[in-house]
Amino acid sequence: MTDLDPVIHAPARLRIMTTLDETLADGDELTFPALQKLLGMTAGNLTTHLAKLDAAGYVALTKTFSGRKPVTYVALTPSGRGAFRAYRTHLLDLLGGTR
Amino acid sequence: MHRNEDDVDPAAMLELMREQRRRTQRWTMRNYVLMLVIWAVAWAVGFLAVWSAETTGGSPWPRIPQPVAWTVFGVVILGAIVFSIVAGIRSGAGVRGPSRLSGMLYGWSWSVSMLGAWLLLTALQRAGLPPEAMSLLSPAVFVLLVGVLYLAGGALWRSPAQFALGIVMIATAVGATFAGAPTHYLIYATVGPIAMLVVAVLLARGVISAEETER
Repeated sequence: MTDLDPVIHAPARLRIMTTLDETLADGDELTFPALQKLLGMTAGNLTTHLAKLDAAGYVALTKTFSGRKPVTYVALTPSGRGAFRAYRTHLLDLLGGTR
Repeated sequence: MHRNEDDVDPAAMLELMREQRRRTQRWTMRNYVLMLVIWAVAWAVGFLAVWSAETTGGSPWPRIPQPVAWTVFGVVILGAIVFSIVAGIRSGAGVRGPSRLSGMLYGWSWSVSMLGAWLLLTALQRAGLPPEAMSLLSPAVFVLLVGVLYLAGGALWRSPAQFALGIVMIATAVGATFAGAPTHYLIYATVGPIAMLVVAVLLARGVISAEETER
């Protein structure tokens, strides 16, 4: 048993977290369609995984309007960024690699 | 059989993480690489045209009429400016927050400084600066500013590549002006575009990063 953070240790969610960590500075938010484009995932699949990350407090979802169009913004929370880094460190330690 | 998510191989996950990171970086810098290529082409075509102009040019090959040369120059530069503005606005799309603000302010610093340089040169021309001096000074002022803005961009995004390009631009402006007219047009047509293309190719191949990613 590796006891890697199970919230992140799933291919789709790892890709989401990697993308958010890479694109967003603290306080930045990305729209749902922009994130979807970066990941090449279906909207349904992305929604499911974002809900799990949201439940863990790793991402924050803000629903707002751009004119009449509803827009969802996705942000990486400080605890989400911390968890992602801890996961990456843990993974590299397990593999004995260098960072 | 359905595998438990916890059983995913750590090595495969590391590879997945690296692949997604590369993919995200390519997406982030695609506009930047494209912009460098567009400007390299604009400089090469535009400055080669004025270097080949009938009266003020310096090319040993058959020359083109003066108005044609300057029209070509104007069209390619204007085209590159329009492309940059569109690409600049599009690169900020989908993101909001502090990065959006710094990107927007950086975009405006290009517009404001280029407009300022243009007005300044217009004032010097009105004050009676001779055409020979104007032909040396005008490109030098713009290229120097391009260099300064690359230096600032390099500092803002922690990008040594962009900073290095800024140094090359400033050196080009100084070198070209010392070389004098009309050779300076040839220098702008070659050194600038080559430097931009080198950075663009290195960025596209992932040899150097557009911005420092380890925080």
